[in-house]
This record gives sequence, C-alpha cells and structure tokens, in this order.
Amino acid sequence: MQKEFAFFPGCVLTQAAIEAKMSIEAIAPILGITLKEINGWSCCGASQAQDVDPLATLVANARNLALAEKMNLPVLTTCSTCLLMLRRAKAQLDNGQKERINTFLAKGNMNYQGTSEVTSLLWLLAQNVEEIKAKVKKPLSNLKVAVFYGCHSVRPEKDLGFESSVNPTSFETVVKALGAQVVPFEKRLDCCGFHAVYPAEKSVMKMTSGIVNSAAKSEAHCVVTPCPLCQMQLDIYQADAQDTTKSKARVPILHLSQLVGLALGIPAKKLGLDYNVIDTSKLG
Amino acid sequence: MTEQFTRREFLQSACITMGALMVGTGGLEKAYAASSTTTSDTKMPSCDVLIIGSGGAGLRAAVNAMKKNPKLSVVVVSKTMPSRSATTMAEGGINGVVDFSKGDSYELHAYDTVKGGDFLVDQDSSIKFCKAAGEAINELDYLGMPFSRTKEGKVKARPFGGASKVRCNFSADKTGHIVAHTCLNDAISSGVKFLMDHELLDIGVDNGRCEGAVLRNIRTGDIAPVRAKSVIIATGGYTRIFWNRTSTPYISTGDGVAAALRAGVAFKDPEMVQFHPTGVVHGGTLITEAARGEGGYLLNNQGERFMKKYAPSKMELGPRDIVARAIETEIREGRAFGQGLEAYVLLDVRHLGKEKIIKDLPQIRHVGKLFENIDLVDQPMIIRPTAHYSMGGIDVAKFDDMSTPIPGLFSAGEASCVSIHGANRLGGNSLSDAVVTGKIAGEGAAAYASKADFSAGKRLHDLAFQWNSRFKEVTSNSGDAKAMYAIREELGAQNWDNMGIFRTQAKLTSLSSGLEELQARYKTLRIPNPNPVYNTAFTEYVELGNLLLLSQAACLAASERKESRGAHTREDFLKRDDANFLKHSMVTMNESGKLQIGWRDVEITQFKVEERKY
Amino acid sequence: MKFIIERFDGKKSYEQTYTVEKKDIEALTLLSVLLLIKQTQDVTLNFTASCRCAICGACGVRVNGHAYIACDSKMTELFEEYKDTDTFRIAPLANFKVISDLVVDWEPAMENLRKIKPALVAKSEFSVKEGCRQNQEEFDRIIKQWDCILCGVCASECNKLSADNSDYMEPFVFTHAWRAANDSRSKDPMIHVKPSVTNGLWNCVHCQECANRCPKHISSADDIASLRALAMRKGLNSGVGPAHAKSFYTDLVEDSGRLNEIRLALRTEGVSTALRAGTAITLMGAGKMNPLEIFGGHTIEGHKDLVKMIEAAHAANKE
Repeated sequence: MQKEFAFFPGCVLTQAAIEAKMSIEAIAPILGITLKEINGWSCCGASQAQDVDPLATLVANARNLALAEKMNLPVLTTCSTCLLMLRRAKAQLDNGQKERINTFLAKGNMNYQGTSEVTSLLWLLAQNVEEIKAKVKKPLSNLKVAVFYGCHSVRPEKDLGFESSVNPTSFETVVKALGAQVVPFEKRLDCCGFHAVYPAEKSVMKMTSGIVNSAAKSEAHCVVTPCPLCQMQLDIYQADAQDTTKSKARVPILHLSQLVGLALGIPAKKLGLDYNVIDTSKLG
Repeated sequence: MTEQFTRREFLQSACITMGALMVGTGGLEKAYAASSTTTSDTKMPSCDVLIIGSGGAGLRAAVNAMKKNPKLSVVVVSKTMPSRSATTMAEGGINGVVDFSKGDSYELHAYDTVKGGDFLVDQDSSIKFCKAAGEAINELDYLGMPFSRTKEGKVKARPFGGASKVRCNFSADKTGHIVAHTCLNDAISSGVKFLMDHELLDIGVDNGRCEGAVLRNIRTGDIAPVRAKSVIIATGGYTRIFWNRTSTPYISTGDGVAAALRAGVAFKDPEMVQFHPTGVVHGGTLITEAARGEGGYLLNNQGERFMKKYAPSKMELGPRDIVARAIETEIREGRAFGQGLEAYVLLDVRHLGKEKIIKDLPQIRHVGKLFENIDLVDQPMIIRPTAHYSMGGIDVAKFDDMSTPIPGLFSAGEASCVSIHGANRLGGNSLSDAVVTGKIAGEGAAAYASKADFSAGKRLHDLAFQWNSRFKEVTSNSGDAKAMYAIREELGAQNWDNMGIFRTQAKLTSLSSGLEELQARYKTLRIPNPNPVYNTAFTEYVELGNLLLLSQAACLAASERKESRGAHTREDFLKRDDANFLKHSMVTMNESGKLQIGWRDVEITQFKVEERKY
Repeated sequence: MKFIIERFDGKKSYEQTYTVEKKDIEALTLLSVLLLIKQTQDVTLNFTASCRCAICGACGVRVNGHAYIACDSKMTELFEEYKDTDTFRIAPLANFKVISDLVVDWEPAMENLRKIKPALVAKSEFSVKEGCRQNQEEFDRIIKQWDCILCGVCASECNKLSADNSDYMEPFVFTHAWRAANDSRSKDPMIHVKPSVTNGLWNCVHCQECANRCPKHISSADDIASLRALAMRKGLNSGVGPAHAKSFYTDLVEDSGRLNEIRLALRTEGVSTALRAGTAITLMGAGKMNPLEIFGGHTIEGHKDLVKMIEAAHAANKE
C-alpha cells in the first residue's frame, strides 16, 4: 500500500473537528502511513464558494493540487467535501482547463501538471483491508455500527468513481475488518444536510433527526462516518434536531478514524472521543 | 356564455356530473333518463377550445388559440403528461426554407414535397405549408429553440433525403425533442391549462356540428362529457396498428382519428403509412439514417451488400422506400436471418472503426446494446424495416384553418391529413407539419369559438353514458387479459405480413377476414380489473379497439387502391395509375358502423404530374 | 428472481411479489420486465411508458430505493449494480404523489415549472419574423441542459424535497430556469432567476443526488450553484443563503484562506442571532474551537500569491 501522502486536512479538522485530526494522527503511524501536511493549503471552497465565484474556487484548488505535486505525493483527505472539490477540480483541469488556469497560477510561480491523485482515508483503508485486519488489537465484536457514507464520499459517481454510488460496500468492508457488526441502516446513503444548515434549517434538522432515529431503530451503538462535516452535523446539532422532531433517541457519532483507533487499541482520550458532543464514554 | 374554465372547476363539475350519473346501476339509468329529457345540461363541464393531444401540434394549437383570442378558455387534454409524445422522438430535423441565397424557395420545397409524396399531395396547400414552415423556423428560434448554428449565427441546416436543397434545420441529433420542449415551455409560460392523464373516448357530433368530447379521467376513472365550442384533434398517428413493428411510441394508437371516423369524418388515405428501412428487430425502435449516412453496410446472409442489386449507384443511401423494399425482398427470398416477424438483415458499421463509432454514432450504439445486446463495435446490428409515420389521417377540408368538414371540429399534426405528405412523407417535414398545422388549427378553432355558442351536448351525454356502461360491462374480477394482448400481437403481425411493405389483393383479402375475426374476439373481451383508478388495462382496451377500426379502414383503402404509389406497393399493380387513382381514398363509417370507401380528386395546380425518379 | 413492487390501488398501499425466471429477463430492459409482468401475470399493475428509448421521460421508477428510467435500464446492468441479489424492490418515484402503483402525479411539478417561466423572452433586437442570432459557442453552453426529458429522476432522489417540499422545487425546474437565464438570446435572465430565488434556490442541500442519477448526465446541483452566482451578481444577495456562501469566499480570498466556523456563524446570521452563534459557543465549550480565531486566525502561507492568482483569473475573465 501507498504509505506516504500529501495530507489535506481541510478547514474543519483545524477547528471544529480537532478530534478528527487527533485520531487520524494517532492511527496513521500504527498503520504505517506517513501524512505530510500540505504547506499553505487553502479552503477547497466547501461546495459553497463556487456559488459566489466558481473560477476563484477552481484556481484555489489548482493551487492546492500543485502544492501536493511539489511534494511528489498523492493527496489524502478525510473530508468528503474536500475530496469532491479537489477531485472535481482535477477533472476540470485534466479535461481542458489546465493551460488556462496555469496562466493564473504562474502569478505565484506555481504550475499544475496533473501528477498527484486524490484519495480518501476510507478508500485507502478499503483497498488494504487485509493489512488492517492484521493490525486490529481489540476487535470491536460487541459493537453494532451504523455506517453513514455521507454524500460526497459516493456522489456524483462520475467525480468520485471509487465504487457504485447506489450500492457502495467499501465502508462496510472496513468496519467488518475492524471486527464490528454492521447493522442494516435505512439512511446510510442519505444526506445529513450540513451544507444547508443555515438557509434551510428546518429541513436540515428534520434530515439530521431522521438519520439519528433510523440508526436508533436499527439498534446501532453508534453511527460512524468518514466525513467530518457529516460527523459535525449529526453530533453537534443532534440535540437541537431531536428537539425539533420531539425525539428522545441519542446516538454517538464517530469519525471513521476514531473507530479505527478503537480497534487498534488506542486510548479514547488520544482519539479525542471526549470532544464528541454526544456522549461516547460507553464505546471506549 | 363564455365559461371561464379552471382545472379545479372542471374536476368539480365533472364530479357533479358523474355523481348524477353514478347512482348504482338501476339509479344510473333513472338518472340518465331524467337528465336526458332536458336539452341542455348546465352541469356539463365546458371550455371554449378543447385540444386533444400534447405533442408539437397540440401545444402550438393551444398557444395560438390563446393569442388569437385571449378571452377564450383553452385546455389541452393529454393521456400522459405533455412531453411524452412522438414529437420528442424525431431526430433528423425540421424542414423550412430560411436561406434563399443558394436558389432555394418555398416553391422548390413544395415541389420536393409533392414529388416525394408521389403526387398525391394537394399542391396549393403544399405551397402554403412550405411558406409557413419557413416562417416557423424563425418563430421557433424566437421562442427559444436552440438550433445548431452557422458561422453567421443563423439556424443551421443539413441535407436530407428527397430534398433538392439544404433546408433541414436541426439541433444536434435530437431536433424533435428540442421542438417538443420549446413548444412545451412556450405553452407553460403562456399559461396554457392541461388536463393530464385524460383520454379521449369519443367526439360528440349532433345536427352536423361538433359538441365536444367524452373524456375519461384516467386517475379517477370518471368518464364525462366536456362541451366545447371547438375541438382540435392532435393525437398523432396510428402506426401502432403494426404494434411491435413501429418506431413510434406506445401511445400512437390513433385515438383521435378513430373517434373522428366514428363521429362521421372521413379517414383520408389510411393506407399510406411510411416504413423506415432500419428498425430494431425486437420492438421496432429506429436506428437513424446516420448509420448509413456515415457509411454503414447492409448485408444479407451471404455476407453480400445487397443494395447493389436495388440501387447500384446510391447503394445504402438510396431513398427510404427503396431500401425498405430491398430488405423485405431479401427476407422474403430467403437471403436473411431468422423467421417470421423476427427475420432480419445486418447493418454493419465495424469497418468505420471503434473510434468513429464511439464518437459519431453513440446513440445508435446505445440502442444496439439496449435492445439486442449488440455492441456495434464488435458485431453487426440486426435490423428490419419499421412503420414510421402515418401520412393518412382525419380529413381536413380547409388548410387555411385546418377545419374538418364538421363545423367546430379541427385537426392538426400527424392525426390530420390535408394532404401535405401524399403517399410518402419527405424526411424533415413531420416536425414542420406539427408546428405549422398546429398553429393554423389553433387560430382557426379560436376564430370559430369566438363566434359560436355551446351546443346542447345531447349526443355527448349519450356517448358518455354508453362509455360508462361499457366500462362496467368490460371490466370485472374475471376475464383474461392475455386474450387482449394476444389480439394486439396478432393484429400487428397480420397487418405487417399482409399490409406491410408488399401488398397484394390476396393478402389484403385475407387480412380483411382476419381483422373481422379479431374484431369478433375483441367484442367478447373482458378485462380482469374493475378498479376505476388509473386502470391502464382499460386504456389499452380502448386503444386496441381504435387500432382494430383503423386497421380495417387502412385495409379497405389498400385493397381498393389498385396501383403502387409512394409507400403503398401493390405487387399485383406495380405501376402508378394516375388515370384512376390520382385521388385520395376517403373511408367513412355509415350509421350501421360499416366502413365505406369514396374518393376525392387531388388538388393539382402548378406542378405537373410526372414520374417520380431520383 | 423476485420483484417486490410497491402498489397503491387508490385506497390502500401494499407490496406484491412477482416471480420470474432469471433466464427470461436477462436480455431485457427493466421496462420490458414490467410489461412482461403486466401482460403475463397481473394486468392490474399500473405504470406509464411511451417511447421506450429514453427520450420521452415517462417511465421513471425506483429500483432498490434509487431512481431509474425503466426503458434505459438493462437488467444485466442492474444485476451488476446490485450484486448477488435475487430480489429487486420496485417503487414509484419518491417526492411525487402516487396516483396508482408506479404512476405519479406530475401536476405540482408542472406548476413549479410555470413559476420560473421556462420559455425564452428574446432580446428586443430579435423578431418572430427574422428569428435570433446565436453563435455555436453560445449554443454549446446551453445545449446540455436541453437534454432534460422531465423524467423526474432528480426529484425522486432529492434530499431537500424529501425533507420538505414546501419551500423548494424539483431540481429539473432549476435546470429549466438556468437554461433560459443563460441563453445568449435572453432579454433578461432575472425573469427566470428571481422566481428561482423566491422558490428555494438557496435551500439546496448539496447532496448531489440529482447530478448523480440524471439519466442524461445533467447536474442540476451545478445549475443551482450557477443560478446562485448569477443572482448575486445581479444584486439578489440578501438573506442567509447568499451571506453563508459569501462568508466562505471571504475566508478564502480576503481573510486567512481557510474557513472559520465562528466567523461563518456571525457573518451568516449576524451577532444577535442566537442559535448558530450558540452552536459556536457550544463548540468552544467543548474545547473544540479557539475563541481568538474570531479575530483572524492564522493566515495561510502563500495567501498573497493565492490572491494574486485569483485576481489574475478575474482580470482574464473580464477581457
């Protein structure tokens, strides 16, 4: 397996989801992965900035990719929206935009070539299931997990392309490799609503609540997601969301990296589990 | 008494009417008897202009009727949601002269149309049609139709079969879809009202005047009369008489043509159906001419490019009817593959190379995979001719307003027959027909409705009653749906075998008795679904009845036209016979329901009738 | 093989299972399978279909929860997509009212189309008589969106519509607005943009379902983003949606180059708005955020260069 990556943490890992950063940094060395953070990376636009200025968003991501190319490494990110934005920018650049955008990058003495692929933590793990299995110290055999993919890890398929967007299996494969039980979970491919929590709050709260209730119904001990934005939405807003629909259920929401960390035997504290808003103490 | 019409009001009033009728079986008859004593049923829903059909023609009719007189209530009835029409399926382009710089003219377009139609075209109307077609192109552009463009930013045209100049304007390879959606957008923005999921059952004609139509709300099953000052039939063609050997949609069952025939209007030139040479073997979907245009070969079971025997100079690019006849000849003479309705020849494009196939023929490759599991890159496609267009249709008495001989009844598009297309339609003229005749019919119907009053609606009332009874009689918890589908399959096969590309007296006589036998079986059909809600089986039953009737009309005219002209090939009368048959066949139904044939002279004005040679 | 079909007879909903031999359906499309079931097993099964070659949009249904047009879906592809399954669940399109079995009500969607005035209103220099002028490039720009066949697949998949359809429209409606607004022949894009804004343009949740499932590969999500950009350029930038989008942009270009959740909350809803600012405070309470970030945070290395690049792009774009 590829061991070294240009790491693109994404804004959320530097702020609201520090536990995601802690946990990926904790699991990486055990899995033998070296993450070299891209120096000077900028926000990917978060599937929002293009509403204001699609060109600026493309330029910023071309720059991000060019920075990784300088390191001579493929890009790895944990945030699904960053994954989508970077891959989409790469596709645009590789399909005709490269020359034009490079004239702009030249203003900062940079150049995009198209040599660095963009992958995610989930995909990397799914491609190396056997190695992970071998490293599991504390199989999570008593843990019932609801896997929540999050939109931008599977859709649109033409931009992500790792697996079927209507019947993906990578996440289940990884979670099973950790020894956990995957419960049937109706809303595993739904949208958490994160990107519209401001303008469409009422709808988003309903969506969030629906996901939590669906997980509770399937008797999952926790929901796990590869995307820190989904995690943030389902965790931080869970109480509010459940209030709006008058639901009592509360379900802990874990980052994929936290779940991996637990199976690798890393202490909860090192995985930042105490930063999760919904109580995770029963899981550690 | 102009009654402003809203959908809600219509439904409400329809409910009231239905409520009055549907009081149990005994009560129903009483209710009917009571209400039928009054000459005017004020509860009957009504609108000024009622348009049946939501393809290109129906939508253009609606918008132009509203423009002509904004005070009128105009409603478009469609058995599906608008945009599911045959219009969307046209690919090549839309004829109309907009570029006069290279010697083209409306007259030249008209001449090509007349000649293409093997001189069964009404010449004066064809000139008017071609002028309007040219104007329609710019109008569509103005309405927002995205046309492919020339360097000067003008509408782009491509050469097309049978045209002496380049005037087939297009939008990539989906011109029909684009025309349909341009018309739909315009109708929506103009505030046209739709009654979706409503099917036409019959047209009411009383005292020689059109009263309106009987509609079935497929959603609820309610069958109700709707009075209208004028009615436009724009229900499209009837090529589904060949059931699975046609390129047209499932809904092209000629409902409007059949209703008009029952209402006393002549079905003009019913035997004139165009066959396209390259249809998918299973289901008849079209493989566009581009496959041959790009250099594809037609091969028989000897691996021979058989077109060298039929059109040695043009080979695969010969005119549609010649290529279609060539394929059928190969099949008949044992040089093809497969048996019966599944016989076929090969269309081979492999020599063009994978890259070109992927780049220039993506749609055809997709169709090959979809219907036959054949990738044209690796294997030749299996094809057979397919019924493609109805030249015949509802008799239009006056092109200037698309009126039928019955006051208040109008027709437009493929359902109508002026005749513009004569015995064979020119490629690219069908979309022009839809938008041109639709507009004229809309204006004509609006002008008529502006001066007319509603009629009493007595006949409508009777018809609605009959249809309600028929639903009850035909549907129940018992019955055999398979018998219905068997009739439909046999109808298609019999029509194809006996009234397809090659016709003879013997075949047509045998078809005539075959159709009678199918009619007899149809009359005893029972549908095992009494649920009124969205009963699609009953819709199929109604459609099948229409197809049987229209087949009988076509068979009668095909038997009587003892000559070969355009799409109509009689092997026992191989020559065109202008002395006896430079005439439209006019099939009518008499009071006892029997079909009769009459003839009407073709309108000959400026173009000399001559041999059709290319 | 089993096909479990969700049925509705006008009064009650139920499931019905039909059994077919796999070998009989392997070469078919999903539409052909539905026709086979109707014609040989159950004539009461209702669905709509017309062209059978993916241009009329009549036969949208859901398979295992995801929308497809039945005539364009080969069973071999469905077997491939849903590996090892011997059962398919067929349901009507979601987010439409069901009339019967697989038949849905298109009327509300048509009413939404009316709102955005889908027809072009041509510039005054053009006329019915002379038509318009448009170059090939301008044609190419809009023609993809004209592939829309109104099949409803995007609407069926839309997470926002599922949550609440009262303040949103079917994704294809926005695509129709986009193509009219972005047509070089259009007199005024705002004819289509304004009603888009007032009918939920900012409520898209970015789930990408519409873009993912469209059988014609149109991305309504992109059209929505593009309409938003156009709306803001034209001065329609009040409200939570525009403020939210702009704050990302501001962070990227004018501030540190990275997003700040606290500033995002404050910029989007203003200091006094309780809920989201309250959320930021929850985050700080949980030790997740540094309150000092509100005053700027660390500017990324090379930010000045990033700004230069974007400025160059803007300058080039204006030419």
